[in-house]
Amino acid sequence: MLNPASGFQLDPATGHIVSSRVTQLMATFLGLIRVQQSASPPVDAGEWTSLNNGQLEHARWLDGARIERLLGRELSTSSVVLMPNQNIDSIRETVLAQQGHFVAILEMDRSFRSLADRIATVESLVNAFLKQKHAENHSSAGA
Amino acid sequence: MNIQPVDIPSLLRAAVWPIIVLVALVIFRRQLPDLVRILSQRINKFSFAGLSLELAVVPEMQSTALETEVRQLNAAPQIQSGVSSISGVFDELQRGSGPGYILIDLASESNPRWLTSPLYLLAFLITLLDRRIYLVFLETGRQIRKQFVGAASAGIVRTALAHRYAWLSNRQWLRHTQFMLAPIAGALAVK
Repeated sequence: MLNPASGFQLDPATGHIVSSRVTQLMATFLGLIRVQQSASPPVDAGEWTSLNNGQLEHARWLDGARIERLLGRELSTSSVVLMPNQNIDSIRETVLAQQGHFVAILEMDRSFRSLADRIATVESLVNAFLKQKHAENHSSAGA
Repeated sequence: MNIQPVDIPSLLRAAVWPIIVLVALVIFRRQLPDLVRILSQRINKFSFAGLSLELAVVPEMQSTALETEVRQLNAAPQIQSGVSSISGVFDELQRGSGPGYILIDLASESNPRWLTSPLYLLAFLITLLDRRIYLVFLETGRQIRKQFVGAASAGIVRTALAHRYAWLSNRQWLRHTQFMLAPIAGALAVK
């Protein structure tokens, strides 16, 4: 669903942004950050990447270290390793004891398995608790 | 005097639930008076016994277009293909609902797959949607594929990229998108 604040014109049939409009937007964006390679490289040549069609793109390759530098503390890096004798439910307390919004569930070799929303877990827990309290109050009031 | 060694695992186990309660208090600070009243009345029973605690696992947005094309945007002969693939991913995201995450496999240093520009485009488009979509970054290192680097919301990624690489949010780009994105264009820093 489209964010109503986006201001994009929607396809009345689907309620979605028309694909051609998105493609146009992206083509414009790429046009703004690409130039033909010339004899004299740009002043900030390190910030450009050569494309195979003789163009330069104002872009840098990304790796994990660059992502970490780029996002800093905004990057959620909490993780829990799922041991062979465990399942997701058996590590829920460990997940909740981590920090940050998300906790990655990793395999033994630290490859990615899934992502847990720690805050949503706590929210659902508190909601369940409040519902239980509401039900108890309701039943005691009726008694 | 006989001093017992500190049992760290026991201490940690004992600290788990107080930490959860603290987080819950922050989240429900508006309902704090009611919550405090309930907790004060039943603090002994606030062990969550009888309540099922399910881990909220975020669903992965599996996009075939993303796997096959977006990451290859650097390949110039496939420029149109790359653009159309991002458009395809965006269409898929428009059709879905609810939160989710997209895997961004950065691959390895010797064989990188993602440039800053398509990542910015993807994050930019996702922020147009009324959905919580997160980007999970993976990389290959020490011969282990898809190692977890970290996760962040698309909005945070877009803002960080625009802040670090000023050309991603240049005035021309903002002018072009302004008429379509007027309500949110202010969030993009004009460099």
